[in-house]
Amino acid sequence: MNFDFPEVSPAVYDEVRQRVLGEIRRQRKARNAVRMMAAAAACAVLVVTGLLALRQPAAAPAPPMLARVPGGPPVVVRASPMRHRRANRQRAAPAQPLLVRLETDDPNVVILWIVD
Amino acid sequence: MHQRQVLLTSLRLLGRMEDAQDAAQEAFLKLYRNLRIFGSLAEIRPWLYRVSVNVCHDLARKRGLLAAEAPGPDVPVEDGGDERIGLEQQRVLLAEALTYLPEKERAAIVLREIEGLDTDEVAAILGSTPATVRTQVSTGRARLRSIVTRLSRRKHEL
Repeated sequence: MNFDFPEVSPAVYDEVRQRVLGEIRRQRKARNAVRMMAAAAACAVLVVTGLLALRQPAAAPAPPMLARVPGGPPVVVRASPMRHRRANRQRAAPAQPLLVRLETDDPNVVILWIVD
Repeated sequence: MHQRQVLLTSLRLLGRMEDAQDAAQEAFLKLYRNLRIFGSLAEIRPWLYRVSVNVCHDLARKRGLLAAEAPGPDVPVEDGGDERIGLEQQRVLLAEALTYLPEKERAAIVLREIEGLDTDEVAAILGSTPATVRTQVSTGRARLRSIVTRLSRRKHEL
């Protein structure tokens, strides 16, 4: 049995080569387009996030947790509103020691209690 | 360098140039995508044969190619039957007869007899053993003779 087949024309090889190269170019373009779109989407997300961050005021920090009582609700310190000091607040003069005199039923016994 | 190998193998396996070009295009695109896996140029040739055979099988199944049965009843082939028809006609009949062979026999015949590969190479490409390839080639040759004879008789009758 003779298995010698005639050769194929070079034009056919050229056609296949052109088709392969064209397909590779097309796939490259499609891949680049996807990359460009992904990069553009990432930029848009960054810009929108930045704008939103600029518009919103900074949120008050959460109150610190002091301790956790087992079984009970967490103990928190509430953030107190900002205090404004009075400008011309006069300091109180150093306090005199307070003397409390406690008289008992016995007139001979008197308790003197000095409080700082 | 490999374009002849891929295109002609695909043509023998599929029987039509349009299909062979599609298969060759797919095989070369696969090669382009997998270029990094090769350590040397020598590894490309058997890989391309394997990919070409697989692409052709996929394409043939997808497009419903080569599904027809061989024409006419099975006939015994007497020696020297080939010489009665001209060389060119014999080529045409052989190309047509190839398309009637079962998938694996066709691949074995194309790689072993037409592409001239060793039995071991063919076995490695087809993922089978050399003994299986030898059997496929032997059965395929006998079947081809029979189909060529039937096709030849049918053409003479027309």
